[in-house]
Amino acid sequence: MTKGLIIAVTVWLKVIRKKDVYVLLILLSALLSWLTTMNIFGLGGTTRYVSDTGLLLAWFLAWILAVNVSARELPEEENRGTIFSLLAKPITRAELIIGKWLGAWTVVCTANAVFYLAIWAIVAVKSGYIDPSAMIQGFVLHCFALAIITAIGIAFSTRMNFDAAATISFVFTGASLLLLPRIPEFAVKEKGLRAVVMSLIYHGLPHFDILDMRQRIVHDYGPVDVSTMAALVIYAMLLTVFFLVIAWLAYRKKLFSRSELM
Amino acid sequence: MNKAIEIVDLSVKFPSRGGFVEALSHINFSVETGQVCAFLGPNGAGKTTTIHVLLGFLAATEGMAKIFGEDVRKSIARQRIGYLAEHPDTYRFLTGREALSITGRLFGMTGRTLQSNVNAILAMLDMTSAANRKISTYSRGMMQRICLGQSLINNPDLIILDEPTGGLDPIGRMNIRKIIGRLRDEGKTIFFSSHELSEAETVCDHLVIISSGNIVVSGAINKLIKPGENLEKYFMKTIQTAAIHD
Amino acid sequence: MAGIIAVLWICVFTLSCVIYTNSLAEQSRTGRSLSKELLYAGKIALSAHFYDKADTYFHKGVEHIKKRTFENSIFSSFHDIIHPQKHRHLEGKSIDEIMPWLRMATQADSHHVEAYLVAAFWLASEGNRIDLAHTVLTEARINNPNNYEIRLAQARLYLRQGLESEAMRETEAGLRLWPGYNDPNSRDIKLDKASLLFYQALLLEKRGHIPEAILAFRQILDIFPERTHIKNRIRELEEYGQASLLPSNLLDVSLSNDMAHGKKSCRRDGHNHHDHDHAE
Repeated sequence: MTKGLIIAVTVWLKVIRKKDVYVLLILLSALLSWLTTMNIFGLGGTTRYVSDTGLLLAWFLAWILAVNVSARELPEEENRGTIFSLLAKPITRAELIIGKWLGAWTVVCTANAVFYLAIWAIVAVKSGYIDPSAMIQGFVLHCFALAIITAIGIAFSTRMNFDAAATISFVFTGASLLLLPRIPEFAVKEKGLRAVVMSLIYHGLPHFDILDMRQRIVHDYGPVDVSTMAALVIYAMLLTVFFLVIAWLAYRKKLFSRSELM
Repeated sequence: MNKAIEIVDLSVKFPSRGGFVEALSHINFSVETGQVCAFLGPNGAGKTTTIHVLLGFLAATEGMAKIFGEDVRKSIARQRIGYLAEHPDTYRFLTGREALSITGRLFGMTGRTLQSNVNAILAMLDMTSAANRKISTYSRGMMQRICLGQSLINNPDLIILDEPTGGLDPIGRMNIRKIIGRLRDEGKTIFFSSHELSEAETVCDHLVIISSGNIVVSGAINKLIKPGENLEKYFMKTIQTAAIHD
Repeated sequence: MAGIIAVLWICVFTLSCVIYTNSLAEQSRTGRSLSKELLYAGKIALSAHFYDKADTYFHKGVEHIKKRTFENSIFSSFHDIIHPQKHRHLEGKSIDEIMPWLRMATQADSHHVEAYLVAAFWLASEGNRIDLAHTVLTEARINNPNNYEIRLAQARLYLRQGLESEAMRETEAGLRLWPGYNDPNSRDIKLDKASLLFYQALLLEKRGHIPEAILAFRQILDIFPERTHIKNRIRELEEYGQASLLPSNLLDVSLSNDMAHGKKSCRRDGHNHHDHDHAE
């Protein structure tokens, strides 16, 4: 596990030093600042749209960051040939997978925390109010959603190059984020095989919609009860473990070709 | 003497269109501790494949490989190894010191031990003054030295070097050779593949020649090469003979 | 892997071919370039999204209720906990929270007249800011000079303020511009014309211009012949020169009715105001 943590530290250092995350934070702050300065038909004191847009951006940017960071790690090790010197150390492939995931997840969660703080600060500056307990719950569930997304990114990247892994991860997680919540509406009129396929998709893909508390935060519905929260966290953890196991199965006997060294 | 490397009846086959390609065919050889062994062969002979099996990157189709008596499939077998890959690279966003330090941590080093090992390696590589610079600013030779440093940070008993001077200018080669010489003097077991026969002749006491996935020669250099003959001549002769037999 | 990429590539290529050929056809019709056409379509879509967002805000984040399946699924249960489904409305000062979305809708598409009208309506009613409502409608009028609905809304505002000449001017302009690009046989569009005529008739009646007022009332009957209260008023005006209910009182009643039924933001299918909470 210690070796996994060391691998995670290298992921952290890379993200921090490559500055991608700063660009996203600046983008979020710039967009929120622009929103707060918007002239709303001469009215003042409205803040809900700022928190709403901010949280939407936080979800969007954290998603982009999660897929990019997680899908990049393993293919980059192989492309640069650093995988050979890394695996020559007393480290197992499972430790490598866990380390890469842990690094990607924690760095994305930290960036996400900064996004949430920026939203909270901007809303506070405009004298708005966000229920802190709902906000914290929303952040925690969002982080668990990111755990699944990073695990998916890692799983796809075990057998693909970065571009392919990132594209497939975006399509897969994007469909889960945007399309899945609409399937119960689409499936109403479906019968036979199409209904079965829709049911399989609905029950098979990760449900990010149940980890997305934006509506509760923005419209002051307050936090959910502890048992619901616990069930959702367990669901997210199980999915994360599932995708990490898939990643390990795909990676544990992977052969690295010499051409990757050239 | 103990065996640092032991390869017994090792075969590696790669799937290919319509069947398999045999990269290694029932090879046998061993390297005793304290030996400096050159692993030579033409391109595509199976040198890197053998090294990759030793490091656990590739699984053997048949046979077995051991390092200090441990099956290479176990990660513990790599605890006493230092490995420098062909065309080595490392995390360029780190400084030289950080790269060595992180590698040391992977071997379980911490605190003062780690610190003193890193400083010693930096001094040995003559990299102390550039230690706090990012690797992305290093020359090819400096990068090679830092990668070599990473493979030495755990004070390994066996050092496996895959074309350690490949792609370096003469000064870079000389620096790497000096380091290998120093490691030999310290009594380390060194197993390295190279195209540079003069380099092998200078630093090695043992020789393994591989051709088309078969070991054609294995033994002490002073017993294999007759007086008046040099390694280059011997190598060419051996490879040509092996080609005729094939 | 290569197969997936090939399929995706073919899909994207086919889609871009369809968009390109459609846009060429559209371009030859409208004279607009492909990029302008895409930008215009994007702006309209964005504006519609912001307008829908305003509607969702009005319902405290609860989206339009649609028929769903998998109701017994555990995911559906969790979904309903995380995303409350109960139909509620914002009220009072909270109404201001829908304004940013309406502002964004009008900024994305300055021809989105409905967004302007809804914004002006809420500013004038719950917000009690008739001045801001006028500003909104003036901006709407500048961007949409041939739209009669803006004139009708502005006439209502002037009537609420008791500015009769300005209201008269707006009703006249509104009638001149009616129906614009709308279908003159649509019931809603006909209702709008009837409202313009009704306000005009009452204003004329107040000024003592009885024959002109009767003429305007008769025009309402041309559209909706079944309206007995209009028939009665014409009869009273013809017989006694005045009606039993004073035009100013009728105007007040009419305006308050318009306010009560004008909650345009609440435009759900099968919407029943008795089965849900009006929060805050």
